[in-house]
Parts: sequence; C-alpha cells; structure tokens
Amino acid sequence: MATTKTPRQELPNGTLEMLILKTISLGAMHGYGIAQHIQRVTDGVLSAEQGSLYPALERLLNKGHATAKWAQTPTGRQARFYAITASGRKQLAARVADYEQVSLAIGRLLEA
Amino acid sequence: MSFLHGLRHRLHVLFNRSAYDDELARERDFHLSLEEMHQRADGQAPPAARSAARRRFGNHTTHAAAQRQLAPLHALSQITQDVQFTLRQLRRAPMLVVGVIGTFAIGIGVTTAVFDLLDRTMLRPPALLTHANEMHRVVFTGGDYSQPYPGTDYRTFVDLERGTTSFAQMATYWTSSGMAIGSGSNTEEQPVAAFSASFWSMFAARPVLGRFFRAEEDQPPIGERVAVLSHDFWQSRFGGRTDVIGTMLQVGTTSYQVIGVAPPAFRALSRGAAPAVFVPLSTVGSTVMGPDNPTRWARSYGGGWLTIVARRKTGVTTEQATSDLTQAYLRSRAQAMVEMSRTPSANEVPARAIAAHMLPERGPQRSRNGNIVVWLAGVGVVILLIACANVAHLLVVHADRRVHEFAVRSALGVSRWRLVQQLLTESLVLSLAGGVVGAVMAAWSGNVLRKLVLGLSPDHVGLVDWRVMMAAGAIALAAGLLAGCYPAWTALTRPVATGLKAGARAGSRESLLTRSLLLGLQAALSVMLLVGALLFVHSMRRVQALPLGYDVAQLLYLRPQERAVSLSPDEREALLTRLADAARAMPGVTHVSRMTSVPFWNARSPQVFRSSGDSLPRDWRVVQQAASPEYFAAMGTALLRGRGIVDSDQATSEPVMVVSDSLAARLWPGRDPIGECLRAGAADAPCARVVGVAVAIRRDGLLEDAGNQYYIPATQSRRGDGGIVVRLAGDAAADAERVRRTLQPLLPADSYVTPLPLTNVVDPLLRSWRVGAWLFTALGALALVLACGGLSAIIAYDVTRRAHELAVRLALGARDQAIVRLVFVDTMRISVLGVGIGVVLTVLLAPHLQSQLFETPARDARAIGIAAITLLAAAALAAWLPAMRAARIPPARALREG
Repeated sequence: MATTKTPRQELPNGTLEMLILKTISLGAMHGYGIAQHIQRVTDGVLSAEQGSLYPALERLLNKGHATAKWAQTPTGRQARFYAITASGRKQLAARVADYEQVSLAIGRLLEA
Repeated sequence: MSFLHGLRHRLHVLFNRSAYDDELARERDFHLSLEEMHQRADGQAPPAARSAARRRFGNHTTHAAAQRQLAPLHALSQITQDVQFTLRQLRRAPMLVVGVIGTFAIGIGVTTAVFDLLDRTMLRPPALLTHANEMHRVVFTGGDYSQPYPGTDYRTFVDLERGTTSFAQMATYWTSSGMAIGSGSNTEEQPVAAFSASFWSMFAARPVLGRFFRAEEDQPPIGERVAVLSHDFWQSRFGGRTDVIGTMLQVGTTSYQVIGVAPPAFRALSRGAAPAVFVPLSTVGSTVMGPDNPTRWARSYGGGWLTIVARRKTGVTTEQATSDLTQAYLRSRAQAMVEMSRTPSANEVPARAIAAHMLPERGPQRSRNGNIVVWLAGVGVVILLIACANVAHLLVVHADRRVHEFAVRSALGVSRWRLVQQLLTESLVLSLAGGVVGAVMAAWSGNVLRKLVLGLSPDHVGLVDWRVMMAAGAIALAAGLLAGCYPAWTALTRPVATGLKAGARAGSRESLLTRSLLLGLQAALSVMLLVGALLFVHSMRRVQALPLGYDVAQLLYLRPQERAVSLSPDEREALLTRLADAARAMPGVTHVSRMTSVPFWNARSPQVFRSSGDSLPRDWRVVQQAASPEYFAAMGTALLRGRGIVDSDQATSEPVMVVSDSLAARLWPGRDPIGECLRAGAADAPCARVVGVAVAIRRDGLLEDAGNQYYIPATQSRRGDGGIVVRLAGDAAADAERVRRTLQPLLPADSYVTPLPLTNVVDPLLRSWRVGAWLFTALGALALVLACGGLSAIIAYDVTRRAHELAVRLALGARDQAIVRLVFVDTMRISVLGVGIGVVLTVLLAPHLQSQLFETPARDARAIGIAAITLLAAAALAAWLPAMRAARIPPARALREG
C-alpha cells in the first residue's frame, strides 16, 4: 500500500473512540472496514491498530454507544457489523465539540 | 437506552463466555482473511501475506483477553476464579484453615454477640416507633431526686403538657411487670402496659383486629374499661380467634372489654417481656395509687409511677425542648409545694426536666448493666483485634511458604496487584467462613448473653436477627481485610529477585520483626483483658461479701392478692394470721413472721418524732417494719441489745419499738437507747418505748450504707398490712411452689397468693456485678487462648524456618539445652516486651474502669502482677514444645532439606 509510507501518528487518548463513532455513524461497518476507512480517509496518517481497535469497539459495546450484529457482507461472507446507537451519536457530538474547543485553543496558542 | 444496550452486551459476554470467545475468534479470522487478501493484492506471496496479516493483528490471545477484561462484569468472574483458586490452595493446608476459621469464629462471634447487646440496649429504637429522632423520655434531676429519675405523677404530666410549646405530642406511660389476667383456674400473671390514648399515634401500628382505644375513652379520673391485646397473647390465650372482640377480660381487679389486637411487633416501650394487654392510663390510676380515693391520682401531686414520652416539634432543638420543659416543671413544682404545704429544703439542687433519649441506657441515668455493655463493646473490639493479628500472622506464614511460587509468578508477568487480590481473597474467604461459624456461635451465645446481661429469656427474641447478621457480615469483612492487609503488603513490597533467590528458605528478618510486633500486641491486649477480669472478680467478691444484715436464700415472702372480693382490714388481718399459722405447721418451715416492708422495695414509712415532738431531719430516711415475735429469728437479723417483739406485745399493751443501731446512734449518740421514747406517725402519737436494738440492714441500695430502721409489733401497726415472711430449712426458691399450694386453699373467692423468694429480689442487684466478673473472665480466658495459640504457631514456624541454622549449630556440637534455650529465650523476649506494653497500657487506661469497680483500686498491683505472670507462664508453655522439638531435629535431615 502506498499510504503505508506516510509516517503514522499515535492517537491521543480517547480519540480512537471518536473516530470509530464517526466512521460507523455513516453506516454499519465491520471491524476491518472501520480500520480501512480511518486509514483511507486520513491518508494513512492515522491508523487504528487492530490491537487497539477491537478493545475500543468492545468498550463502545459495553457503554452502549454501539451494537454489534452478525450479517452478510456484499461478497456473501459473515462478518460482525457495528452500528451506532442514539447514545453513540450524542457521545460523538460531545466528543467532537470537546475536540474542536481544544484544537481551537491549541491553534490560538500556537498562533499567538 | 444506552445503558440497556450496554447491559445486554455485558450479560451476553458473562453468560455465554465460550460462545463469545468463538465470536471473537470468528471476527479475528474474518479480519485476518481480509487483511491477507489485501496483502496479496499488494503482490505478497500467500504465506508471506498471511504472516504479515498476523503480525499486523498482533498477539491474538493477549488482546482477546484484553478485550474480555473490558467487560465490567469481568471483575466478578475474576473473583470467582480467585475464590476457586483459594479453595484449591487451602485444601492443601487443612490445619491452617481450621486455625484461621476457628480464630475468626471466636473474634467475630464475640464481637457479633456484643454488638447484639449494644444494639438492643443503646441503638435500636423501640419497634414501630415513628419519628424516633424526635422522640424523648422526660427525665427529672435535682429537687427531690438525688439521681436522674424518669418517674412522675399525673398532675405533673398535665402541667408539662399544658405548660410547654416545644412538643407536638406528649403521652404518659405506666407498666406493670405482672398483673393477674383472667379468672378462676385460668388466671395467669402477665405484664400489662397502660398509656394515654395519644401514645398510639407515636407508633406506626395498625390494629390487626378491632381498634385501639381513643382519647375520649381515656378521660381521667376514670376511663372506659377497654383493652387491646398483644398479638402474642391473642394467639396463645385465644388461639387467634376473631370473636374475642367484645368479650370481657379480667385484668387485675378490673374487668375490661376487649376492643382490639395490636400488631405482632408492637411492644410499646418494653424491652423485656412484651406486655400482654394495653389499657387506657385512666383505668389504672386508682389501682396503682390506691383504691381508697379513686380520683386522687388525677388530682394530686406525688408518686413517681408515670413515664412521660414526648415528640419534639420539627425545628426545635433538644436544648430548647429541655429548657422549655424545665420552665414548666419549675412552675409545676411551685404549685405542688403549695398544694402539699411543703417547703423546699435549703440545700436543694435546682430541679430540671430533661428531654432525654428514648433508650434509658443512652442516659442520663445509665445502669451498671449499660456500662458493662459499653465496656464489653470495647472488649469485643480488642478480641477481634487479637484474632486479626493472629490470622494475619498465620496467613503471612502461609504466604511465606509460597514466596518462591509468588516470585516465579511475578517473574512470569502476573501483576503484583493480582497477587494482592488473591491474598486478600484468601483472607476474605476465610473470614467469611469464620463469620458464618461466628454468627452461629453468636446466635447461640447471644441468647445466653441476653439472658445474663439483660435478663431476657430466649423466647422473647428471635434467634436470627437481620441487623445482627448484617453486623456479623460487616465485621467479618472488616476482619478479613484487616488480617489480609499484612500478607498482601508483604507480597507487594518484596522484590521478585529476593523471592527467587531465597527459594525455600523464606521469611525475611523484617517480617519476623513485624510478626513479633503482632505477637507483642496480642500479649499486651491479653494482659489488659486479664487485669480487667481480675478487677471485676475482686469487685464482685467485695459486693457479695457485703453484710446485708439478714439472710436471703431461706426466705420466702408471701402476700395475698385479693380478687373478686374486697376484704376489710380486720378480715385481711385474720387471713394473714390463718396463712401464718398454716405456714408454721408445714414441715421444713422454721419461722414465720408478719412483714410489711420487703428489702429493696420502695417503702413509704410513717415519720418518727423524738419524745420532744421534733421531727427528724428530712434527709434521714427511716423505714418502718411491722414484725411478729419470730421476726428477728426468721430474718436472721441479729439483736444487739434488749429484746425483740414478744407475744405479750398486743394492741392494748404499752407501745414498744426496736430500733436499728444506726438509728439509735444518730438519735441518742453515746446514750443507751433502751427505755427512750419515740413517736411514730405524728408528733402527738403515743410514746413508744425502745425495748431493743437490732443490727442495721441494707434495704435501699446494695452499695449504700445500711439505713435506719425501726420495728413495731404487727399487733400495734395498721391492721391487715403487708404479708408474711417464711423461713425454710432449705432453699426457699425450691420450696416456693410447695408453700403456695398449701396456702392457696385458705384464700377467699378468686384471690391468690404469690410466693416471692428473697433471692429473686437481691439477685438482680448482684447480677450486674456477677455478669461483669463472668464476662470479663470468659473473654480474658478467650484472649489468653488466642494469644497463646498465636505465640505457639509463630515459634513453631520460626523453628522450621531456622531448622537449617539450628542443624548447623547441632552439627557443630551445640548441646540440646543450648538450642532449647536459644529458641525459648527469643520467644520469651517477645512475650516480656508484649506484657510490658500491656502493663503500661493497663496502668494508663485502668482509671477509666474505676467507676465500674467496688472497693477495688483500678491500678491494683496484685491484679496486674497476676495477669502478667499468667501470661508469661502461658507463653513459656507455648514456647516450650516447639523449642523441644527444635532440639530433636536430626541435624542430617535438617541440613539436607534446608
């Protein structure tokens, strides 16, 4: 993959959940799909390592921000699809708002 | 909703563990296959693509585990795992398990049983009482009372009710420990409570049948004769029949109509036997205060038969309530003085009426039993501490044996936190098991204790009480954590390398030091308990040795109770004479006399006046006793001078009197009292000539100085007063029923006679002393056993640990005695240290115990000496056996195994 050449950045704490929620808010997706989506959209700058992706998904399931269901992929295979719940959307909005506030603050500081 | 989604997921994970593992595996396979496809699409060869995919996925086992750990109920499954592991471990050490559970059981059992006592006397509000925090008993101090006193009369109650504004409700309450209920052969003696109608509304109680009495039925001076039955009495006497409503029931001398049944838990304010019948207060006044004038009780001051309970208004503080009460009480007292034409004595303490706690033991006049309960609570905690120290030590020894195992496990990456969790699980499992055994012990011993300390018989209380069981659980949990802390801390702080290196010969020097401290602590606590036990035993002996001035065990007091008949004084007099004659004719009866004043019962005696007509100072309490010729022989009261009452002392003959030496000494100091004149009842009463002097007796308080008494011939006293006292050759209590059966046929109509062995009067006064001595001795012995067990275990362990060293010494030619001495001296050093600390603590703390002792200095050097020597001797014994064993270890084996 061409994108693997770009240096990967570590994700700040809690950001992964936000990214996952954002990803599955577009539609139910399986774990691999989520990882691919994050990597593709960020041009490989951000990547959800599987070691952290699945535990993060489990956390979302425990908190009830997502649900998991086995379903068929377009190629006819069985995969575990994660879908966002109403509380997940609320959580996503809150996280994004927090993130924007912090990022704005950091931006101001750097420009000052 | 999110909560439900989450919960459903967690439950799914918890209950379908293996299915969920499969799910995770399938998800991983799917992921890997896609990743592999991707790698292949990038041009990798299939095997390389697969391993690249696996590499990227990382160690599957680890993060499947990590993933599972996220499920919050994971903690629960981990606990299950730890418990299973602990049980496996413990199965291999049955002796340890027995020792630890036994120790915990003693500690937790004692503490639980003591908590039960504390709860009953000082914590638990009366059953069903609402607004318990706003409820008060009214207690009076100063004025007429030298001690805080809860009793008052109806007039004062009315004054307080009208004269205060701090209370939402006020009610007054009276209780009798036994009134005859029913008629004919169906008569039984049962406790009865009478109270204002408003009392009902202070409780969350609804009648199970019928209704309670109302305010309009409780109008002084003579209320409606209606009665509410207690649930128990309704069940036992009427078999729970509903047609009991409307029937008539004889209670004492009055016939009541049954109107309702109280709920099972309702026992009014009673803490002992629950009253069987509840009646309006206004129906008992005339019975209690004398039938001569049936309305006097509601009109006049005097008499302390009523208890007042009051509910404070919300927003009023207890202090405000007390000052409000006191103001009203002072006005009431002023009025009482006017009506009774009395003047307060000059040195009178200002009177107060206090809004006190509902439970009498919470003050202001806590009984000796209450004090003992408080002390016991402290002792319970000490025993629990000793048990915990012991267990902590046993568990450390157990953990020390596994030092190698722990070291290997931490080296393999098991976190220390997990090891700590396991060690705590271990001690908690053991403490809970000990708690179960202890709770069973407490349930059993609790009954014994309640009987001993509170005088409750077992059928008054359930065996298992949820408050007590909760307490047992909490105590067990606390004990488990306390005892588990030390082994856990050792596991946390010990460097892995040391553990690995030290291998089988574990147990560092500093842990030995800590263990010595634990042992020293035990020894110190045991010394304190033993000293306490000795002091209590000594006090009890001193109290029991107090001369009463009369015998107790052989004496029986009998008093006829009139029922369905009203005898005139002359008829009553004739009845008493018949009873006395019949009793005198019985085999085993040595003496019979009339008696009007029973020891330790309240007596209202006529005042005495000197020949000049002067009354005696008001603070001289003088008690009159009407006696027959055999009185002094019957009671065993010694006559010091002159004569007693004789047959020729008749109503028509010259009035005579026998006085106690104490009274004689105060009235005629330095003079011979014989022949002096004293007037009884009024200043102008005929002069009674003193004919004899008897030894003064203790009849008011056990610990008070012997009081002043005077004796007049029964023939010259009020006719028909009092009862008879019978002296038996043997134990009076054993013969009481025989005497009753013989005398019963002589009584008219439904009347009956109740025999009262004087032991039953005196024993309760001695009980608190006996209980204190008993319990402290028992608990002191328990503490000693625990401490010695602990000591023995640590020395045995120490010997095992030092087997190698000792073997080397033996191999190098050390003598057996030298080895024994070595081990022995080490142990004794710890014990001496502990005992020393104990002695210092005892000397510091003992003065607090002083108020509970009688004629015994709290810092009694002899008691401290005996306790210290006992403990040292026990420690020496505990050390001796392992020391001997150490000397007998074959050096070759020790060297090989060490």
